[in-house]
Amino acid sequence: MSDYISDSKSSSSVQENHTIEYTGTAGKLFPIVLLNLFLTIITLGIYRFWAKTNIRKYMWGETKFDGEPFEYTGTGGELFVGALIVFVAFIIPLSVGLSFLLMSYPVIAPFIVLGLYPFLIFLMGVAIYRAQMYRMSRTNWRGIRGAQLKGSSTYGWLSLKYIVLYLITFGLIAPYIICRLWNFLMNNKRFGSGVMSSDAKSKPLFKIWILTWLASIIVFGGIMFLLITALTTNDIGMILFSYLLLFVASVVISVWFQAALYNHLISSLSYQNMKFDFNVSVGKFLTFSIVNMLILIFTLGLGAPFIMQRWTRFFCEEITFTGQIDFAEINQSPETGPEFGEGLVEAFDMG
Amino acid sequence: MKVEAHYTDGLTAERHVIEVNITSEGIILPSGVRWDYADIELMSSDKTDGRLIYKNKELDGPGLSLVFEQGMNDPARDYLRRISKKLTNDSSWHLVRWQVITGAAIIGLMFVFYALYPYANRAIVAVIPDSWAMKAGDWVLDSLYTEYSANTCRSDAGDKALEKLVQGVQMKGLPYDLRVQVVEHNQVNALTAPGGRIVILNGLLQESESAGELAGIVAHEAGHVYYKHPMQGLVNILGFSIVGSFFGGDAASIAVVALSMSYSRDMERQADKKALETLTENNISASGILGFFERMNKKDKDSVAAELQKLFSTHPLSEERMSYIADHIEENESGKDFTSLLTDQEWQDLKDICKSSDES
Repeated sequence: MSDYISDSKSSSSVQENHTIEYTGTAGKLFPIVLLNLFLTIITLGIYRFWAKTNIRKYMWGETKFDGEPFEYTGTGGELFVGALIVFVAFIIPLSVGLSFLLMSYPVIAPFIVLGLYPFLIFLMGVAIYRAQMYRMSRTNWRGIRGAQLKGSSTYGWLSLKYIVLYLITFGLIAPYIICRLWNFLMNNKRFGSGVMSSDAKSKPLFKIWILTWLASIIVFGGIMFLLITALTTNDIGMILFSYLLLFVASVVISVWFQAALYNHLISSLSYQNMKFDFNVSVGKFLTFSIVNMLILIFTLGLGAPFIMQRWTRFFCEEITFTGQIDFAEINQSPETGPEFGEGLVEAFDMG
Repeated sequence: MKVEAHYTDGLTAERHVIEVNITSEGIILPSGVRWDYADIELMSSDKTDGRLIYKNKELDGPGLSLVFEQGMNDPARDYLRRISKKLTNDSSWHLVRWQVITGAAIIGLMFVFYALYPYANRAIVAVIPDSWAMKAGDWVLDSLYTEYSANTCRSDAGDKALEKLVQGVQMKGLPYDLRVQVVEHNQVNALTAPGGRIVILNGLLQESESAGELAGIVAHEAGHVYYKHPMQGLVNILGFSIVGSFFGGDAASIAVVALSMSYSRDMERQADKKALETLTENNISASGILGFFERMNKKDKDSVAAELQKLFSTHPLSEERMSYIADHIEENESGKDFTSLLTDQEWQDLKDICKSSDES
């Protein structure tokens, strides 16, 4: 194939930065969502695996790196079988076992259920990680596959360990936990033979987290006091006002930390020689979050795919890259990923 | 027709600029390899620059992105469109069609599941050990008694009469011994729990006018025991709640209720049939239970609530059920003599079984 001209040769003269853009619009997404909704309803929900796949195929295709789209190669059938396997292997034995326990040992059964919690948290970690394994392996760009290397049980253990740590520090340790989990997840991502890496340090996040933490206690404490007073005096106007305040506060109060967190986490990423940079202002993030919330409320949750699209566009617009990737060096990934997808995550209703 | 293309070989992420030849059979690459149209899948089409991105379904990895100098109006693009609208994304109907087919296939499978479900249920019930069934029955009744704070009625004479009545309704091949109790409750109903436990509510006992009527009801409940219906019902409740969770959504839970109701109507029919056989075998007339049903039917004919109940009840007093019993009587009972199961005194003792426990 000597007659092929490769772009990498010509690109040595001009070093333009890599770009990512999202070209999807609400108008393109709408018919997909509508048909999905209809088929999901008439199949009593079973179509949701295919619906999810349709949305992904569309969104991946509208996301373009250096002008070329990603491709989602997963199928609804894979998601369905994945969910069915988890259903038969976990949900049915667990439900039947628990009913039997409750029937036979009504006194001690609740304690056994309590003892299941650590196991469930571990399993949730495994679920999140395995879903990434599936999604990465079904993501192509220029015919090259992504991959999430094996590591789901380690991730499960990390989740369990950090939840305990989170509880005994009353949540103060959160930035450390988030960074560690993020780094583990990202450092195990590949695209082709190219390596993703992340070195997010939690130190710069602690100041803003502790301020957020203290502010939440004061603000939510204040609103709770207001609410309890209103409830005891039966002041309807005051009750509604308190709930509204609670709602607004929960969006607003965390926005500084969230913006800082996203900026920090994404900016700590790199792929081969290409560094990610994400720098969104608090104001912009606040407007973005409020609009998302309003869409979700006014569409009674049916707008979720549009929110997903907004997030994708948001990320694509705000991310910038520096440094060059030598595409000739990126070989096809040796990993082919799991055969079926995301059943566990589906079981926890986190998909 | 020659067109500039970007080619990726699936081995590296490098993009090669090549010139391809678009022919009537397929797209020919400079290497001489031909991508047949049948193997080509349109991955993406860009309306702004008219670019089309293809992949080859037969090859894992390689991708071809055709660059049209004149955008949407390029002659090469036109040529492709004429070969198949799928190639240029001018008709997205084929995508919609596949989705509708998928939806229809799912619904078809749901019907298969619906048809096969009763067999699966019976298979599960068959492997549940009797000791579990007894335990489950005790558990169901215990929780019912607690919920309605109902007490079991007992008196020496009443117990003896009840025992005699139950002994008089011998059903062959029962999986468990029958354990029949009368419970202090005003509702006109009887129920069967797993493990052969039958509960007659006092309301029903008071409504029945003869031992023959009550015997018919006991035979019906024994019919449920014979087929292990209560255990099937329990497996249904558990099974449907599990399966329902896989389906997800409110529509699913409504469908599940409708489904379980249609199964339970089949169960009533089975129990009726078995009860009538048993009554004939034990030389008891079915006219007792028929009379009882007719009285109940007349009683709540006028109320809307009763009409609704008929629709949703698992014990529907349908015309179909009554004519079924009437047919049985006509076929099997003409010219036969029947003796009463209990003496008048015994019947009175049984009817008073809850009274004496009130006094004690």
